[in-house]
Amino acid sequence: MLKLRCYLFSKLSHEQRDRALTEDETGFLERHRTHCEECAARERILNASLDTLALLAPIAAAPPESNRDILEKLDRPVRQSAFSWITSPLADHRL
Amino acid sequence: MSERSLQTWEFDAIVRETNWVHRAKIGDSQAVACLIDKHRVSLTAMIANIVRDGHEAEDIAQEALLKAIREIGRLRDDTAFKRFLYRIAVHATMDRMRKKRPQVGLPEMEMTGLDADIESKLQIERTLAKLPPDLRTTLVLREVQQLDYDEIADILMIPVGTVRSRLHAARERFRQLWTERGK
Repeated sequence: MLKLRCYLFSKLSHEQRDRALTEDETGFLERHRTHCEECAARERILNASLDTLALLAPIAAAPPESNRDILEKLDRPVRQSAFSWITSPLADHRL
Repeated sequence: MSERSLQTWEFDAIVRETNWVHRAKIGDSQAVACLIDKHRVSLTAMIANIVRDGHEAEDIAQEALLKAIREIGRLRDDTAFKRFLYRIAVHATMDRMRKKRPQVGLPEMEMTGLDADIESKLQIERTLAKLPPDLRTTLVLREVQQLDYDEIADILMIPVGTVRSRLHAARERFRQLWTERGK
């Protein structure tokens, strides 16, 4: 089980990818890094793996040049049962 | 993730899209074509990043665009078409992933001598394949699509707090799987 400081370190080291940390938070991370090799190593792997994900994960998807395929399908009438709308995950979240 | 004022070109784009949505609701096929044109490429790219397959992404994007246009009359806020479309697309994507057999990942293979980038790409595919659909989707929306918490919450229709905890779990799992690679 992680110690409280290690848990806080883990939480903040994730959050620093999403927001600017305060001076206190940054100071805590720096201090803990020097004291806990395990957390420092875990953070290095986390950042390396996520940076690789962000860099190499995007897939080049090239949709068709024309949108005719969709427009033709739209011209066909669609019959949708009341049941399918009621069970739709968006039914209760109309914008 | 701070609030900022809209640039003029952004404001113009919103006005233009709102106009297309309004016209699409009353059956203007040119406005429908404009909406599809505007969103298809980025929508397909986002789905491809989650499902890891360009062809399947095209298929899901087409399905989502059709559904969004057919149900556009239900959209109360004409400025919210993108959110509406992305919600449909992400839910269709997650449904598709859940219906698939549990992923066992790409076959392990001898990786010596491979280009480092190719090796890393293979490793990413294997690691992502092992994540459950909800964690994989949240992770890709944040780390690859660079959406902020509010946008992810909006698309997945979950509270921001849930996005935060799900993202933490996804990153931890991703790190663990990444560490275990090759073991």
